[in-house]
Amino acid sequence: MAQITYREALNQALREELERDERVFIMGEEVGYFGGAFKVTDGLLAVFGEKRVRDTPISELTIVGAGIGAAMGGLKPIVELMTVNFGLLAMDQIINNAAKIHYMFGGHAKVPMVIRAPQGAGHQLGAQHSQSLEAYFLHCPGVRVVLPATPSDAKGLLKSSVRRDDPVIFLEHESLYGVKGEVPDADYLVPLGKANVMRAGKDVTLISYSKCVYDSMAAADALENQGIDAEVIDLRSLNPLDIDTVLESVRKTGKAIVIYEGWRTGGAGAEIVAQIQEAAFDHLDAPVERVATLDTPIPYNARLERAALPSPAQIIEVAERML
Amino acid sequence: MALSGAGGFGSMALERDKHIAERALLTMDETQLLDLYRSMLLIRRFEEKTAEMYARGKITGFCHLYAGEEAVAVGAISALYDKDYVLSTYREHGHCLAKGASPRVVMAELFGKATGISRGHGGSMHLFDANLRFMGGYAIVGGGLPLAAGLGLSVMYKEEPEVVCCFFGDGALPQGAFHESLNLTSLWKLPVVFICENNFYGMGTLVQNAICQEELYRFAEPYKMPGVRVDGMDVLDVYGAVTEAAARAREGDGPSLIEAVTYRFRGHSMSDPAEYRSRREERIWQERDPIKALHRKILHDRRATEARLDEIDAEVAAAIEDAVKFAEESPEPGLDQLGKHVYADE
Repeated sequence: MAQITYREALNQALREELERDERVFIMGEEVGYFGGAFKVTDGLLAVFGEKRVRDTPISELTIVGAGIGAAMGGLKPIVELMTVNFGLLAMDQIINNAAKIHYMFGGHAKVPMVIRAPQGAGHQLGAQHSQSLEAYFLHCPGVRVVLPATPSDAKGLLKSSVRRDDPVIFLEHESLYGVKGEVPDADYLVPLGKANVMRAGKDVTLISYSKCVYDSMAAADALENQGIDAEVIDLRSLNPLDIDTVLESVRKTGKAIVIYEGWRTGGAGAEIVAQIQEAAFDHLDAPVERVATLDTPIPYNARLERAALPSPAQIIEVAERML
Repeated sequence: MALSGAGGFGSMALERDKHIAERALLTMDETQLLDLYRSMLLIRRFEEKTAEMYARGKITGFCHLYAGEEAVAVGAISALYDKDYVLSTYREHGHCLAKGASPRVVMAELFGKATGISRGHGGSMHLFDANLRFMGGYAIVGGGLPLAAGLGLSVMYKEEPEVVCCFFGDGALPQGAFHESLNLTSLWKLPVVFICENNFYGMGTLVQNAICQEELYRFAEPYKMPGVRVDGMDVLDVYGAVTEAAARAREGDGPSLIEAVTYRFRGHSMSDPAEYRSRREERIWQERDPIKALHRKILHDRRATEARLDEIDAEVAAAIEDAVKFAEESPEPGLDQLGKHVYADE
């Protein structure tokens, strides 16, 4: 076990999967000589060479499409989108090809690839660099959606994602790259579709993923001082979704808040809310609530940006109101 | 804006020296020539039968027929090896059959049956066969070019000798994917042969109203690859060009762009009466029917007898009837199939 950063954990996962399976390769803008825009692929080019750590031109649509084609040709590409925002250029290939090829060809083709993309706001990067777009991929049968919160999950989930036979959208949060945590050495896998109860509690369930898990944990700590015992669940993946862990918790607490950095309206968290009330209505003492990003493009000004995004204060306010 | 249509192109001198086509004709034996003939005729009869079945409600949805363009698919695919990859568009019946798919499973797919090549999940626009290396039909214009680049990358990565033959229409030239894919394959010297089937119309839009450079093969130049224009109504001209391009790709010299000038005898799809074209223009091109042209050539050069050709006509007719019977008698997929094959790992 070692204390390493989320970034280092991802680097480790990539290194191990490249070593393990010669079909695996990395492709994306600045992944090679630059070491990755967020330095996730740092050092890999020197070890594995240009064939397996491939710098590309700025052509998101075709980089992703080529990844899909390479996967159909028997390889296991890990395509890096510099940020999820630029991934919008590749949406046709992701939604119309990656997600549909296995199905529309009657199961006779498969697309085993991982598309990694940093996302999230908080650094005054402006409207076009600050989005959280997991909802677009959740709303697309045929692709898996994974969002690690901790360094150990980053490693374990990335390794598991690489070993899948389906396209996986692997969304990292830009604010988490420097976060440190305990990460097991060697071949550590975290399965997709298994949520993690980060903190046990009996009064209210806080359901979250990615960076908002930290906001939820901070809120839970503050609520404890008021005698409110919050349970915090990290979903880890939206597809496959471990709704059973969520429902088990809600049946115990009777109250739930879903916290996510996507926009409130039509965000991925709205789906969780819908599923909870469908399956556990009789156990609810109060309507399920959401804490999410305000329905506006993200502003540049630091104070405005902070106010638009979910925060521990907002979670605490909602929890207090509920209890 | 040009309104004259594509009638003028019939008499335009094509920029390619036809000596390779002539050499191909001389070096091919009877079997090979008859295979070309049979393959084109099979496609033509298949498409005619598809139109009939569509009118009878056996086939529904969007259906884009390839009649008239047979020389492109057959000439190109005949120049490839079995293990070479082919990737096409929604106008793909011809490519799929030329790659060796049985008319039975293609017709069954059009009928939406469980025995169809895509288990009834795909339909006319989404045929696929992994063993034949027919890597799909795609509904998004230009959507297949990046995939072809990726297949080429996988071939190069694995150090295999295959090439990838990617078909698309003139309508795809303005798409970003075309430009990105030509750039990427040229930069990385990927083994891809890009074949643009220029039938002058993207749905109802004349090519000169869609693209500033109507000599489409010239797009090869900025992307630093060889580009040629061939007579897409001459199966041997296509065969010759693809033979050269595939050899280049196989040797590691990278991609090529081939513009095959051709014509679709029918509308864009089954629901298109093609009112944007004149009947006169259509007649001019029908006189250049690639199947009739090869038939004439074979007889004129005494490469086979008329009786032999008639035999092939009868074989093809029987194969089509057999395909329809198979499709009719095949079961529909069960409702339990609805949620299957969404994920490979379930």
